[in-house]
Amino acid sequence: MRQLLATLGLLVVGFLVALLPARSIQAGTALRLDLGGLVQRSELVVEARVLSARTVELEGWLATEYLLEVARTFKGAHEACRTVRLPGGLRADGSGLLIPGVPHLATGEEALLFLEREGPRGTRMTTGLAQGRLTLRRLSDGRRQLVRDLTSMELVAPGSERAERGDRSVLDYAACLAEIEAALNREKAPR
Amino acid sequence: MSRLSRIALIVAAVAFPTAGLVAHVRLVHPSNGTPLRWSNPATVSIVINATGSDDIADGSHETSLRMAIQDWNAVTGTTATLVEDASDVSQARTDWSSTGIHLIYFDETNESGFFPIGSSTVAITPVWFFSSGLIQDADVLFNGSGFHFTTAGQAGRFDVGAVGAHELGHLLGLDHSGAVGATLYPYVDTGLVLQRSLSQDDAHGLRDAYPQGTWGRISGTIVRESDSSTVAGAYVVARDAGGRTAASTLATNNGAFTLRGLDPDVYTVYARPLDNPVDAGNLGSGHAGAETDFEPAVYAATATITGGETLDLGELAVGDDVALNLGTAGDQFPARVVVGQSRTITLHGSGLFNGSSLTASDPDLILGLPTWFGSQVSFQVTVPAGEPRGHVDLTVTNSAGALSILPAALEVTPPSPTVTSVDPDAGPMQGGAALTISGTEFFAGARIVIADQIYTDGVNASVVDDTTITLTTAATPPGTHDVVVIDASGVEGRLVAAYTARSAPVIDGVLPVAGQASGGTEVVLAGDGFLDGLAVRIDGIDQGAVTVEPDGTEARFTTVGGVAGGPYTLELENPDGSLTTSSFSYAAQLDPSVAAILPDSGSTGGGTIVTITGANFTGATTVRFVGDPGAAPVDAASVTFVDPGTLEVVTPAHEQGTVGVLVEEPGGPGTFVEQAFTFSGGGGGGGCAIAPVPAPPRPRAVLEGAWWLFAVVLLLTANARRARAATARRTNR
Repeated sequence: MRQLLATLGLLVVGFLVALLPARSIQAGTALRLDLGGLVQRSELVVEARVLSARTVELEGWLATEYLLEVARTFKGAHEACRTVRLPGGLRADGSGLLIPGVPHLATGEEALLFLEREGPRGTRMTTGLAQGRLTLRRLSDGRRQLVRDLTSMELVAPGSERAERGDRSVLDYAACLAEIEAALNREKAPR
Repeated sequence: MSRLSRIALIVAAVAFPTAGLVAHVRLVHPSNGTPLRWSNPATVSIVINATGSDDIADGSHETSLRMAIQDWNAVTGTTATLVEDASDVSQARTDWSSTGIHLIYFDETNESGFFPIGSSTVAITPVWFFSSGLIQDADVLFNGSGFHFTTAGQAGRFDVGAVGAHELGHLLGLDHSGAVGATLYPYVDTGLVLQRSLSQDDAHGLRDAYPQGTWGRISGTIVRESDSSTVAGAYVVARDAGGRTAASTLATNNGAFTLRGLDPDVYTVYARPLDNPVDAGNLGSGHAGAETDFEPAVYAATATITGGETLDLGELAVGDDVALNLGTAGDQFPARVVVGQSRTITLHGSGLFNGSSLTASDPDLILGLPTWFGSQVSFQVTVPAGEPRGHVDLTVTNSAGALSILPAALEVTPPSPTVTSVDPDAGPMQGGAALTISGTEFFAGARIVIADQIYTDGVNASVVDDTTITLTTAATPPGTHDVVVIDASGVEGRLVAAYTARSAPVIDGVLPVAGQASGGTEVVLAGDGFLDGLAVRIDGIDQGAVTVEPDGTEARFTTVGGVAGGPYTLELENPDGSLTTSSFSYAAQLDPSVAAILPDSGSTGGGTIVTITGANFTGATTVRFVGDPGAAPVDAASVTFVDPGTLEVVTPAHEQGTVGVLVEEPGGPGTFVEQAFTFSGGGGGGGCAIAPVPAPPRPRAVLEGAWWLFAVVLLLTANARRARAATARRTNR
């Protein structure tokens, strides 16, 4: 049964991936990317938990510095704990910088993060803006899912589960990982 | 998920309150939820960097972005206005990070740091804000180093106008819209131009953010059917009596919503989850907290807005979530459907099975029998002739009666315009050519682009009928240009290389207007549109080398001579063949020549006595001061003929500046000396010799200075010395 579910999951993800066009863009404005595209365009891909978040000023710019506990590094050098700076942030006086499309990570959030190269101020953009962050959701039966946004998760009361929606915002964790590994292998394969 | 981490996430949710979820989808303060807005919306300055994209050599990025600015400014019922600063100085600026400028800038070298190699970000709009929600600064950055852009529909490139219109929406304080046909819909493809034009939803968003006047409002509350609890962040949409998507908003965290800025109409209002194709991940963090686990529902009663009233529709109960969804981010939106045509469309989703039904919110649209595939549905849409533009919702109802509504799924447009001819196909670069553009599908509100000029129906162009547009050209950069007719929906027709703006030279002045028949007269031509390679002919005879100033406003040549008489035709021809004419005469007598003008400066009040030395002067010689070669000369106050080599001139009153001096015989030859005399605000007099060949001062001129006393003293001293020497010689003898 489990094998059947895994196969079905892979098929679903593969189907979804096949449906995603590679030339759409998202605003801000970014290329619309499937998982393979996210891997290909990222310098760093990690599964991590956000331990803390703070705003830092960098040469007149604001960024949010996240301290991550890295569970797994798919691409890039592995560090059990690393900081990542995303552009945008909030000063103590309430002023700040917002870049539409760049996600904000919540403390405690577990996520799969696809990150582009570090810029001159030590900041990175999430690959494909909001697409570069897939939040990890753990179900009561032990299964894990990846969701594109926090909306359904944030309002879940402890001990309860809402019905699965089965839409494209929710992806099977294992199937996604398989797709990511496949994309990494394609990158490594001799041409 | 561990209990601890779940609690942490709940805490995180609380930390990002949704109280600020207000009408339309606005950018909101990440912490306090206050909508971000400009404090001076009537004068939001914007500058288009002149350099633009290295993909677009003709500077047409400015035209495309200018039209995007026009589109936002055309929204009625709002105080918001983007005021373009098109000064050369501002457009040359690249310091987009300065707070003193709101710049649209193509970052070709990743100087911003937002676009490293391999970046997937095409454009961004960083928005700085205060705690009050007031926007401090915002700029639009295109990733010119990683992507290609176009203004001419080149395949595989992003349309500058479509991306620009979207980013300008962010700059004005709007977040992404859940209406898939809106300009602020988060996804756009290369080659897609429909997002150039604003949807009603975009326009209502701006009106909501910066309202002017009184408009209708519809309010209500979204609750769950199961337990009457409120639904936070439901996406609420109003469509008008014609079935067109009109406005949308997000409900607050207590389920309340208010749709603002509504025109008089009869509205149908519905709520749906903000989950697909647009979800909260597409919105700023201040919007976290939207609930999406419910079924769409439509208010049974319509809302009739007649003026500025607020209608409360009460509660709308929504059912539990359903496994039915129409539309995904992978579909290309908006799906264009053309008036008078049929098209087959395939949309993806889930739960799209046989037994379901598909309807359009505008019943005039004819939907063919859908083919259901579970994860996608295909159907034909036919738009009858005469249908107005706008966006239409699609609704799927499955066999169990469950709903999925896709807002603004279809965009009804007329067929794309075609441009078949432009008559005349050439005109002067200075403008003034009356053009007739022929083609098809020309409709009210069309804009016509020729080079960097935008012509708008009803403003400086006229759509005569659906096949004819007339306009009078403005000054146009020289060269051959496409003529583009852009429909109000954003679709365009283009005739490549259809109009040539000729660099026809314009003559404002010829100095002098006559020269000696033997040739050798140096002539200055003043005007505009002179190009390198300009040919000058007098009576058909080429005058040889011509020097042209870089700005094309002055040219110089030396006559080769001809038969005394005239006036002859003076013909100027630019290298592109454009011509203009004036006249020039040859005289039997020699040109007056000027060797020196002393002093070379005087008071603006006039009255300075100036001595002009040279040759070939007569008792009839006139002297005039010419501030600009194209300006009207000012006659000297008086001219005294001293001898053929000397004129005494009293200067006229003249505005401050350095001017040329024209010495000529009435109806005869002349000489023009450029930059020869300076009128200054002071008492005048003095200065350096500026004449071509300095000549020794004549006695009269020497005596005019205050130092003539010194000369007398010197003379007396010399005489005394000679006397003393004579006395000494006599004594020595």
